[in-house]
Amino acid sequence: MEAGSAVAAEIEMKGIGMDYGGGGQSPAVRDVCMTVRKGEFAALLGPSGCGKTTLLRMIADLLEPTSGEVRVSGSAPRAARLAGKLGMVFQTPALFEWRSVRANVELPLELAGVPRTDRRERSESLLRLVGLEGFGLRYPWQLSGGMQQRASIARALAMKPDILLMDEPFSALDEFTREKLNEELLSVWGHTGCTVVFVTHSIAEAVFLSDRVFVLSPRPGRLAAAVDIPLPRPRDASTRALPSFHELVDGIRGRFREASA
Amino acid sequence: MKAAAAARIMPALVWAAAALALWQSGAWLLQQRGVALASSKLPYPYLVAVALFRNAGSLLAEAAVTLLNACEGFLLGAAAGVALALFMSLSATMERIAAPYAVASQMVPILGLAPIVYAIFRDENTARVLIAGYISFFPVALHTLRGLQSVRQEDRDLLHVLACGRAASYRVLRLPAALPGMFTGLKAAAPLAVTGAILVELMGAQRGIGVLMLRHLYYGPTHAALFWCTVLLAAALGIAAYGITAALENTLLPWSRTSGRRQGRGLR
Repeated sequence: MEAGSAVAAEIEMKGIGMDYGGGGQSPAVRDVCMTVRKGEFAALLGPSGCGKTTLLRMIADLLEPTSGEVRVSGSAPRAARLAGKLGMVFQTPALFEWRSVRANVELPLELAGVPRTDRRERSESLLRLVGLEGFGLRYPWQLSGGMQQRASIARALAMKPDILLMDEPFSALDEFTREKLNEELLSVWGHTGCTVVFVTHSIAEAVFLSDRVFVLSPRPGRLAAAVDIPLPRPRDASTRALPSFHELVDGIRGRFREASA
Repeated sequence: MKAAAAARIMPALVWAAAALALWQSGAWLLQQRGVALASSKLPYPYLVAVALFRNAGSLLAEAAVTLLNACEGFLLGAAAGVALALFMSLSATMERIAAPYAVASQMVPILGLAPIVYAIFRDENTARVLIAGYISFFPVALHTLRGLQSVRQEDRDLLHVLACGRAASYRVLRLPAALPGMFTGLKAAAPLAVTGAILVELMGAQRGIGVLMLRHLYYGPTHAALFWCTVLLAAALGIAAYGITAALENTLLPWSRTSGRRQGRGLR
C-alpha cells in the first residue's frame, strides 16, 4: 500500500437510515454517519438489534438503506462488490458441506475463473496462513467450529479483497477459542493489510482487535461514539492485561450506560 | 471395524430370527387347532424354503423381468421428477403452475390407471415402465424441490458478495445442496417403482413376479408355499431397490447428513 493512503477513506456512510417496516415508525437505524479509513481495523459494536449487521450488509451490497448514501472505495457498494473488492465472513462458517475445506477456500477463485494450478497454490498458502495446513482434504463437518470459521476467513481472503467484512464471526464459539482466534485474526490481518469492518457485541473483542470502535446505541441504531483504540501493535494475549485495555473497555461500557439511561 | 460391522448386522439378524420364530409358531398353532386348510393359510417356513429352492430358476427369471422394467421406469420417473423440481425451483410462478397438477396426478388411483395405460400401448413392458415411472416421479420431484429451496441464507449471501450469477449459483450451490433431498426422494421411490411394476402384472401380463403371484394364488392350497415365495421375493425386490439406492447415496454423497458414512465414520 502506498504511503499516505492510510488516511484515505475506504468506506463512507452519510445519513444512513433503515426502516424495515416502512412508515418511519420504528427505524432500525437512524442517521448514521461514519468513515472507515483505508487499512483500518474498525469494529461496529452494540447490543443485539442496534442495526450493526444492517450497516455491514449495506456495505456488502446485500441491503440498500432507505435513506443516506454508502460509498465503498469511492463508488457504490455494488461496483465494489462486482469488482471483487469485498470479502465476507458470516456468523456461521457458511462452508459448502459437499466441498472439501480446500475446495471451499477455492470457491471464489473458481467463480472468477482462476486456473486450477493457481487456485491450488493460493489455497495452500491461505490454509497455511489461517493454521489449517494439512486439513485441506477434510470435509467441513470433520472440523471443529473454530477451524470451520478459520476456513471461512481463508475463503474470504482468497481474492485478496481490499475490504474484509466480518459479521460476528466468533460469536458462536467458546471464549477460549474466540480469544485465540482474535489473536490469529490480527496476525492474518497484518499479512494482508486490508481494511476490516468487524461487527461484534463483545466490548473486549472490539477493543482488542480494533483501531477504532464505532459504538452504536440500541434501537433505533445511532452512532453513539467513535472511540480510538491507541493500544500498541502488534497485540497479543498480554495486551488484555494492560491497564489501558481495561480503561478502554470500561470507558465504552460507560458510554452504553449513558446511551441507555 | 469388525465389531462395528457386527453391531450393524446384529439388529437385522435378531429381527429375521424373531420373524421366523413367530411365523413357525403361528403355522404350528394353526395346524394344532385343526383350522381348515391351515397349510394354505400359513405354510411352514421350511415348506416355503423348499419351494423357493426348487423353483429358484423360474422365480428369479420372472423377478428379473419385473426388476428390469421397474428400474427403467424408476430412472424415467426420477429424471422427470428432477426436471419438474428444477422447473418449479426457477420461480414461485412456475411452482404455482406445476405443483397442483403434480399433486393431482397422485390422486389418480394406479389401480385404475394401469389398465388404461395397458389398453393404450398394448404392451406389458411399456405399461410396467410407465406405471413404475409415474409412481416414482412424485416423491423425487417433491424432495428434490425441497432440497433446491433449502439453501441457507448465508450461502446465498456469500455467492451474492462473490458476484456469482444465477447459472453458476445453480452449479456450485443449489444443485449440490439439493442432492441429499433428491436421494430421500429416490429412496422413497425405488420400492414404489417395484410395487408399480407388480401392480401392472396383477392387472394382466405374461411375465413377471406378479404374474406368478396371481397364478399361484388361483391354483389354491397346493400352491400356497409357492405363493408365499412370490410374496417374499417381491418384498426382497423392494428392499433391494431401497438398499441399492441408499448404497449409491453413501458412495456418491459421503458428506451428506443423511448418508450412513457421515453418521458412522466421524474422524473425530
